[in-house]
Amino acid sequence: MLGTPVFLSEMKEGERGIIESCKEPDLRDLGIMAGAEVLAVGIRKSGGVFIIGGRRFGISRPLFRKILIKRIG
Amino acid sequence: MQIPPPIFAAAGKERLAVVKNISVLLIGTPNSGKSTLFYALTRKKAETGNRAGVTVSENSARIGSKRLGRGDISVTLFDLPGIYSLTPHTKDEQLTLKKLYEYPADVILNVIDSTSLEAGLHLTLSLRERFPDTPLVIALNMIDELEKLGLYIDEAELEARLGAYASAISASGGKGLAELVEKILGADVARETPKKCCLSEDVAKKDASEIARSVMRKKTGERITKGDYRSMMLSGSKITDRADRLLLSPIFGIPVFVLIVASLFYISFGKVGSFISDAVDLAVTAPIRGLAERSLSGLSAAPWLSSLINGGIMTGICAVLDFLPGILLLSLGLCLLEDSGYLSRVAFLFDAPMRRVGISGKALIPVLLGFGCTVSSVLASRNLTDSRERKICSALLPLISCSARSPLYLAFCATLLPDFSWVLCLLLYSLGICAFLLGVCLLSYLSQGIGKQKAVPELIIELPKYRIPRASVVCLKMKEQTAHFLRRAGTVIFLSSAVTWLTSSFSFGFSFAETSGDSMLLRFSSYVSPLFAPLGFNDPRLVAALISGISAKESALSALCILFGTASVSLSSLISENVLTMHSALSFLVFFSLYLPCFPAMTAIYEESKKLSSLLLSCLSCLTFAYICSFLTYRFSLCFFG
Repeated sequence: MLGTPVFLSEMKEGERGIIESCKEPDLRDLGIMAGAEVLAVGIRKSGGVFIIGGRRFGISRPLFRKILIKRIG
Repeated sequence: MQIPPPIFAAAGKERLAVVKNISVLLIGTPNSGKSTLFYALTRKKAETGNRAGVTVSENSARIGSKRLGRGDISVTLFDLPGIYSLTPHTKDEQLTLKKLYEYPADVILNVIDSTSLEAGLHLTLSLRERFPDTPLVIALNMIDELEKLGLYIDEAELEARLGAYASAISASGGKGLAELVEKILGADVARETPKKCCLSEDVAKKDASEIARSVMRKKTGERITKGDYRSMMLSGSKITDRADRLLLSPIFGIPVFVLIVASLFYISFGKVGSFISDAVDLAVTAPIRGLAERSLSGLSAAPWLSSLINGGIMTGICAVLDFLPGILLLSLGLCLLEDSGYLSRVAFLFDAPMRRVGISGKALIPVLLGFGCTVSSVLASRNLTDSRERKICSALLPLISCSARSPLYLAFCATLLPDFSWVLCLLLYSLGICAFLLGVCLLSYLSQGIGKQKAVPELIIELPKYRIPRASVVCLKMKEQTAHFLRRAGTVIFLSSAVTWLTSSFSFGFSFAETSGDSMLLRFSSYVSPLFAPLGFNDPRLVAALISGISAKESALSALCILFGTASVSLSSLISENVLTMHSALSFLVFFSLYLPCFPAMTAIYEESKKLSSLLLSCLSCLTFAYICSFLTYRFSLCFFG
């Protein structure tokens, strides 16, 4: 549902969103922080590929639950 | 395509006045093109590649006043490892931040990848906030790629908003470099009255929320870009998307990787490699050897001198030179994988299986670079975030076969498995990876204790866009590789061949040895050789070759040729002389593939930790693995094929 915050793990390929909160300081240092736009490119069992701020990141699964996303259309 | 030489201005007359030197720090996110820009401006060698974390140490060069066309000014440029923020996470990032905080730079040159503006602006805003009094010049790199997308950057708007100097460039294409240098010089002149950043009030707010920062980045990006900015920031490249769908697929990803590596080995060590090696032997090494022999006999040189040059130095160097094409082909393959952007994908692809043995997928990058050279792979381990992971990796990386071991592999494999020597080479390289993973498991277990195993750091890795490797970059790398190999042939292998000849020709009393068994080298080797009897090979000459291989791995083959008195050693001749059997030859190869690192690698391992214990751990681990694996290979081979 649009506007409802979800974990990154719940995003589907091709979906867009805005980061609501990010609990991992290491990710915030990379610019993956609240307010940044996200596009889910590929979701795997062990991790996922996302475009954040124009850069493509591969993120392992456990980090998914540290990022809360607000889906956008 | 050649990168045009950097001509910044018409060369002016050099004055005798005191030349002012401007120090410039190159700061930017990883893979934004800092080293490419450094090379374009200074022409000094810099490692480049299409992945984050290629540069792991500081590199500096001076652009002279004559070259700048300004008699009174010169510029010293510092190329530093990439950083995402002003908080360090890896050893190479620590190095950059130390320089940034402790070195009184005149200008900070912030390199931004124009195609990912927001990611770059995150660091720019932090730099503006932390160093408000240091002139900041922004190099908007890869502007040609942005223009292909139909977007343009308003440099004046960016300068006004950030209170910095901005210049759009293409470091690889040599575009906009003269203007950039002018801005650097202009920024230093205006140092006393730094430009005011109109975002400074927002930036200076210590409690500025993350959302405010993100919005600021986004708004700045939107304001300075003419075109469909949002679509560029969020839509991936179609080629990259399609390629990733296959290469990162959970089903096809790993088989495709295996296929790529197998093809690389087939080309390097199979028919193609051996054909080029034969051609090199015919066209280069055989004529050189013949010329040396004719010259020495023409000069009526003393027999010992002829023996030293022909039987020692020339035999040692030529034995290795024949295998240069195979080594270069392997390096070329690794270079293409790195420049295309595939290497980072391998780290992501193998993260889950690697995690099970106690290491993140990121550690696979130094492992693959180890196929080329152990020293560069040890340095690449600086990219790892966890210090425990970094220490274990650098200690065990010598287990990975480097290209310098391949000449001996090929000399033996051609007899062990004719027509499929490349398969045996691939298996020996794979054995190194298996030993490395097993070593990681054991060391993680021993360092943490039972039930206290520390969690493996989570993987977050930047996946660069796929690019077609540029011919100029690949050619430059190959040129450097060839020069590096020839330098080694002219220095380390030359010396080690001479030392091998001397120690195998003279006895401990410094008189000419009547039989080779009386020589220093073989007498010493014969004391050690009983240790190798359980492994199936205890001929002192083989042990001497292993000892010689510690100076440089190629030297092992050179030593074998010198000690057996042949121009090229082959396993069939060793078998016919009853020096080895098929089983012991296999065992010898396994021992050679895993035993001690070479001296330069030992130095690199020590330098990384500054602890002798780390080096000892590395040597001990390698020797233990080599001995056990070699013993098992010999026994299994006797049992199953005996």
